[in-house]
Amino acid sequence: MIDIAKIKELVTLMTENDLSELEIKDDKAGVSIKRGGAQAAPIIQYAAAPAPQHAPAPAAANGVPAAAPTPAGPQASIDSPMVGTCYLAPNPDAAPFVKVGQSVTPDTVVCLIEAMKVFNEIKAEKSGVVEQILVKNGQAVEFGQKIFAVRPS
Amino acid sequence: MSEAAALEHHLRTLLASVEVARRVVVLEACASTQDEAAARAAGQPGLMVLALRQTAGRGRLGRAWAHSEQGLAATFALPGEIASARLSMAAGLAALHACAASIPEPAGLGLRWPNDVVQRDAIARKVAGVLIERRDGVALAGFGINVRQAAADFPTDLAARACSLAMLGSASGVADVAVVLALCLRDALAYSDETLRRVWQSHDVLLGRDATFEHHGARVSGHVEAIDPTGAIRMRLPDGEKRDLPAETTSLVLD
Repeated sequence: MIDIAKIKELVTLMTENDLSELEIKDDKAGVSIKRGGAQAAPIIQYAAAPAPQHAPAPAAANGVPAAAPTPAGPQASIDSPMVGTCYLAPNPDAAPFVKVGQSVTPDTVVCLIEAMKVFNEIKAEKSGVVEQILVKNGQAVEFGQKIFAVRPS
Repeated sequence: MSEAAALEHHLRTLLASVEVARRVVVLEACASTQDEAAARAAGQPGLMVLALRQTAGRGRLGRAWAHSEQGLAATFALPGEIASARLSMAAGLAALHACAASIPEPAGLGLRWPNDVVQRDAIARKVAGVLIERRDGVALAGFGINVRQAAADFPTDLAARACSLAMLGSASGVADVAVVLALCLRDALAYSDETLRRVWQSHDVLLGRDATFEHHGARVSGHVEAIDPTGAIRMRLPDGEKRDLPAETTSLVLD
């Protein structure tokens, strides 16, 4: 287990260097720390193997996907069916289609993929809980690239 | 008979044998022809929805498309399996050809990557725009064409970026342009991949100009040396370096 003093040190390091996100892992344990902004308190998540502690995953802040703990159970993914630019929200001012921790069904729209100004609505095609968002908004994705990690339900 | 019902009857008669408009619906008003077409198509292609007034028209990534009753707002529900590049080029060419056919100097219009119809000598000025969304098994090709507007009809913030067919000397009305648009869309979708690419390239207005594109969240500015809509946008950067941006994932940044 990582000790508190170490985490304090990491948070200080992040604040000094104005980092918004930090993730450290080894084969025994992991920690992911996110800062929502200069005024916001950091969000700290632990992941320890073999019995990880699941903290509720935070929503994406500042358009950066939230990191989630290393999953305990079997994991599935929602993959891109095409080459294109991935958008996690219908427009720059709107809320994202899905958030970490949200349940999805096969018909849930999870993102848009734009190819040559054609906006393709992508559905989850499976049921489960979104554990991790693996791409950034506006990122170019390849055919078959994993966009979301999902814990099947 | 209401204006919408009369136009619907007119379009149904003229387009009876045109597959992309096998069914035609004309509405007095709606929020967005894209949403109306999605709901009414219910997964079945071959539907044209036209609105005389569109109250919440939108463009790329939710940007508003200002609509007036002098403009054309229509969406075609097309087969969902058509490839994105083909859809994008065919829709652009359909819009371009429908516009060009109604003005005295058709060569004065061109396509700005990938499918905005603009004036060749003032490429900031948009005459028509296309928004394509693929959902629920159909591809929804939405067209906004400025038909009868006078310069003063555009909102002040759009004045420098918009132009209408009437301003370019057209006497056509919305109904005329709608008919030609459906025919041109049918024809463009029937082109071979090679013809589609070649015809698109012959109307490209960015070739030989300086432009800024966005790819993977980063902007690239330079001189456009070639655009192959099925391949790459070739740029010459200010330092002389050549850079190929993949067509599928590159969008144009407007000033």
